[in-house]
Amino acid sequence: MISLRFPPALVRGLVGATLALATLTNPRTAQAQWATTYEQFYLQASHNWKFRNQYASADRLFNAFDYGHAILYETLWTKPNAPAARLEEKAFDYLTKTVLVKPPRVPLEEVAIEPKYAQLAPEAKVMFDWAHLLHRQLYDVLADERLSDAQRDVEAQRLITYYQSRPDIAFSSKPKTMALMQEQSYSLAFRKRFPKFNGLIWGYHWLQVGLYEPLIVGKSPAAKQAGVHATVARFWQMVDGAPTALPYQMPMTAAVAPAFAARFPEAAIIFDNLHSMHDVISDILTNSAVPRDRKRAEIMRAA
Amino acid sequence: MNLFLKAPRVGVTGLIVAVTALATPLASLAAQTDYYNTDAGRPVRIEDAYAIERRAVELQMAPFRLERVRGGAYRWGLEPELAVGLFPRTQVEIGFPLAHVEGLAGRRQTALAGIDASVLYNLNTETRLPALAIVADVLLPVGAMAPGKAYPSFKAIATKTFSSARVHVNGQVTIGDAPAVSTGSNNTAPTAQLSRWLVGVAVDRTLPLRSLLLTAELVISQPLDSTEPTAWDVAGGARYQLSPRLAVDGGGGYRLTGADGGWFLTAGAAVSLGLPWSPRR
Repeated sequence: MISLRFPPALVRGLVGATLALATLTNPRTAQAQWATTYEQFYLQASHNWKFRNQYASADRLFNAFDYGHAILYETLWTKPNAPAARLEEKAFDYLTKTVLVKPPRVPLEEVAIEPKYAQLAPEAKVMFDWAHLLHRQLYDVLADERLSDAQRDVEAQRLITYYQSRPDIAFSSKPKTMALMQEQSYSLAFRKRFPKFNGLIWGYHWLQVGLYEPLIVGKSPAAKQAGVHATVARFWQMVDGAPTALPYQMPMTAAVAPAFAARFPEAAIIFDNLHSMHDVISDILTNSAVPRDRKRAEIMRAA
Repeated sequence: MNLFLKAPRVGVTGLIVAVTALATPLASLAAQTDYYNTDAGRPVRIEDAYAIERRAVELQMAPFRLERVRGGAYRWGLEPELAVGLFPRTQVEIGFPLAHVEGLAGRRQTALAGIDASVLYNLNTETRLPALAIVADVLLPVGAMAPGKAYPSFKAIATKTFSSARVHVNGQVTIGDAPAVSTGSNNTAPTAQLSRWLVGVAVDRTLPLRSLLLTAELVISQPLDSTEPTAWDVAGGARYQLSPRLAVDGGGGYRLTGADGGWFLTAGAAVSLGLPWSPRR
């Protein structure tokens, strides 16, 4: 018979440490949400990371965009009373003069950048991560020169099916009403208070869908490379000409990448819904009319 | 679960070179971010409460640990592992600890020292509450150098993230009598490093733009043999995302008290892939 004896001090210490972790940061722990959302690996395929390998500089910009999105939400949530210049000047300059200029080599762990926002709405964070994986995997399919157009269509549909296999975190492939974005009590708060940063986010979204177009319409690898290069150069024109050169309305996929939207309409709508959800969450976090203890509920309602 | 066996005296540099050589071919592979999702022994023993992603497959090719105990003897262990995110928030893992020992009259032997199977179940995602997980683990008596019986262990994990750092608390117990030490044994049975109980805390800080995690831990453990003194270990290390699919780690530490005081080094590399088949809808 085996007997387990532990020093009482050890047991007390262990239990105490665990309870301390549970209660240290917030006295309202008892009301805290028990969240069980989870992440899923991207679809394993021969085209994984093709875009990264063939269009490295453009791919790295996406890593920088991840940082921009994450630091935005973390700042809005943790520093609600900070002056607008914190985002409009300090963060904007850091993003455009440092992070975008020398973007990260690998996709970022966003929860390490936005830990408090991730604790507020882990479900929304996982929704974004999942849609961003679809974004990247579609780039891989279009960048894989071994695939014929017909094979690309098959692979793209396989990716969309895989994406939709997680209905708990997948954005709808049906268009959402603009009322969700523009007619809520909190709507437009972010773009009014932080117009320059909002323009930068829209610039991100413009490039994220805009880069599909040269990969669709390019008839050769060289043409695709040239198209991607030109699209990235246009993005930099926007950034360098900020704020006036940045997009002044939310980029819609059908307008920015018409050939892509025509060929993959479901994906185009998913990305529009993703990008509008980005804006909705920015509005919810910015608008003080939404009390802090209602932010999570509003985000979940919008999702 | 780390296993150590007494090895021939070899140069530390030589061992590090050997491990690096084992890991180098992986650099040419493509792979996904896991430097942030810590795993026991890579590089420290205290881990976070998260499973790998559902449908992820992680190949830990060369988790390596080298110890130098007081007196100058070296021990080392190498445990290739396969982890699969088989279900939501659930990680199934199987390890194959390899041992290389120097026996009597200089006779050397390399053999499997058991099979280590475990399941980690993450109970929740962190909100204001910490993330919590439970782990069931068993070291099976398979292989020429395996222990004579199975040793099951149970672990509880909590992870809390602050703006500047994460804190992880682990507590573990192992069931089973201490193995009898036979005549002529050099006391290097695979169970030598199992703990009757273990409790530890780790703090890590992430540099997200560099995909680098720095960590430090304090671990207190009681060996299976209750007559041996409690061991206090401190350790630190780093995890780094080399490519989207390849993460490497390294660390070192010091055993402050216990029967086998001394220092230790760890090194490892892990490749992340996805399950090769599509899910059912």
